[in-house]
Amino acid sequence: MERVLAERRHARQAHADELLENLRMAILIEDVFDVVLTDHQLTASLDADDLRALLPSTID
Amino acid sequence: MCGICGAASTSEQPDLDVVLRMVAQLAHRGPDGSGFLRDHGVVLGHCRLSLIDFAGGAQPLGNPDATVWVTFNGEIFNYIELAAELGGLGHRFTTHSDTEVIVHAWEEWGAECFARFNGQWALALWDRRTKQLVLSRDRLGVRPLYIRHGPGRISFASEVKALFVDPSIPRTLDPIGIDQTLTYWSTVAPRTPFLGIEQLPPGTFATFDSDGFRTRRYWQPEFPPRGEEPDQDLETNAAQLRELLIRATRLRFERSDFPVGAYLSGGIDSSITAAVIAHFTDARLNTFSLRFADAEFDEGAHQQLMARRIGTEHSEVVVSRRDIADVFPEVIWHAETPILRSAPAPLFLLSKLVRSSEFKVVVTGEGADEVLGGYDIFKEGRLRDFWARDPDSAVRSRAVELLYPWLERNPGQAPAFARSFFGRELTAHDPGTSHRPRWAAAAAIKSMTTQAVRQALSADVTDGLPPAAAGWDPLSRAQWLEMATLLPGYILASQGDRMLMANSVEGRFPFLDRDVVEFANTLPARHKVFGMDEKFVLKYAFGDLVPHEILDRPKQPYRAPDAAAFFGPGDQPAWMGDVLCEASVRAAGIFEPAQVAGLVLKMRARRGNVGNTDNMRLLAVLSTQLVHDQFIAPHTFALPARLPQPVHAVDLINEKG
Repeated sequence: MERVLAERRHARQAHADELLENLRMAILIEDVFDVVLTDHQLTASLDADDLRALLPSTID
Repeated sequence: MCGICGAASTSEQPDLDVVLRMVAQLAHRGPDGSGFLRDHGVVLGHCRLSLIDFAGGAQPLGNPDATVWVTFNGEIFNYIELAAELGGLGHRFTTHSDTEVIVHAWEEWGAECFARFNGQWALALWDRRTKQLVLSRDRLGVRPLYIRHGPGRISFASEVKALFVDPSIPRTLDPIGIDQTLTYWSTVAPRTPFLGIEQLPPGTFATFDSDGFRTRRYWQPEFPPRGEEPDQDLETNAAQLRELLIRATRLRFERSDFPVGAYLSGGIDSSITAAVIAHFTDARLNTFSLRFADAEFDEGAHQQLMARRIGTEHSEVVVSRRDIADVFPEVIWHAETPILRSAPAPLFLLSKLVRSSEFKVVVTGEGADEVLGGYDIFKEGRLRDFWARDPDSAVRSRAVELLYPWLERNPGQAPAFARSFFGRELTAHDPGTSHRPRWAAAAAIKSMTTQAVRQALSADVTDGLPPAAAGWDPLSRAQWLEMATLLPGYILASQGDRMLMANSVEGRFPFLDRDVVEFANTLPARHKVFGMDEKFVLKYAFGDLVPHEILDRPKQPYRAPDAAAFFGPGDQPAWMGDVLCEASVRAAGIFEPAQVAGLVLKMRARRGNVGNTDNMRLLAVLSTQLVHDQFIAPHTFALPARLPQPVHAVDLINEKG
């Protein structure tokens, strides 16, 4: 039981970190592109890699 | 570095004895000598910390035909280039000092000369031809200049305590000045904490003559419209910044007749300035660091890492909580203002170490955070702008958890509180978006103030933004606000000039070089704060000179123990009982005695282990009470020491011929 709970906590934390990483990137994306991302894009549609992929064309 | 003072009148001769007492009151700023000039309607005073041209730099100093005189505090770092230019225009120089350049520059260019100076200064010029007194202060307020003026008369000085030796000048706290300090952490120039005492705003000069007293701004921070920055290329901008900063650092290190040291805080900015000196000059470098007995605040490991990396002669002072409490009255005597943090106190002890090591000048990293976007408040602003684009978003508010990862109680540990704190007054297009949560947090102190202070509402500082600011990037507006409030009023004053000059040490700040600042202001905001990565272009430009352990560490602002320094285990200093007693609090009239008594009880019960707001409350109360105790309450103001010797006297009233 303890092991299952620990795994669940870990999964939750990983998810939270992923969201924060998405938000970190989204702040940059919105600043550079002057766009407003939807909640859906911030969470489900774009993961951190997708967001990063937008960068090289405009960030020197 | 020096102290300046003086008085002028259109109707009577200013009292020479009063001005000489003003000079003596400033002796800590210039212990190497003093001087005065007396002419019809004016007396100028000066005390000198000699750094350039010891033999020829005595002040007040005049031009060859004795028509223009100056008393000057600071440095004009490009004086050699200006002297060459003026020499080409026919001006004759009799000294090698930067002071003489000022009088010739005034002769040649009039008020346009200030825009040509690259330096840090407060000065007074007396032009006998027009019978005009001219006061001027550097662009960002590195050097202080206080004024008391009324119909037909004016007095000025580097510090308020010098003005107060004149018994005709009333000594009263200004409720609006206090209100501003309890919001912005400092007054907003020209206001000061004292009623009727003004400070000359940074980037401004003033004239006084038979037409009265007038001020005019010759410079203020300007930024290009968002998206119209002249260069969008990071490589190019980083290379240019590197070149300018190396030049600015060398100017400040090499233009002195005495050895110059450097502070090492353990952060990026002072590491870069010290590394530049080590790599781009031939001199042996002495570095000085502040350490804390409290591990929570100590950055010794990073300081020593940098000192070893560049091979300096390194000295450090270790400061305990009790040290802070013991020196606090002396710190307030020099700061001359209420403060909301104890952080100036350790810096006072650091400059004492510098002076006792026989150094008179240090180069430091001050200004980098304001100029290149280093402060957390800029990230807070970026984050609040992000949130304000869709305030109802379910996920945007979570971004507050990205702030302050280094804090033990960081927003990620208390997300609900963080969302409530950083989500307040979240209004799109508010020019003060970045600063509202901080201002609101500081203003919580005002629940303890008396009715008189609560009624003294000052204008919102964002009202002072120039009209063009509407087109700036929000980061530029936030930088402007920092440059209007915290930088001149606290960082360069209570933590800067005052703590350095208290021990006769001059600070020099390469990041506040004219060319560095004007270039940095043209950069695209993302080159300064790249998403949530602060001072991005600076780190890019100097990555080869600073170890990655310093370059990559999360930004950690300079902090010191606050309430815990005064209410931790052990006895309290005797002065605390004196200033916190009901009679003293009532006499000062700023805080409600019952509120102060309640705060003291809480501090005792928790041994100073309290949250941010209570820390600020305690420091505000202690410092305000000390300001009242030292500047307002005494029946006769503290008598100054004797005049620094030798005395250089110029008497144009009794001159022969």
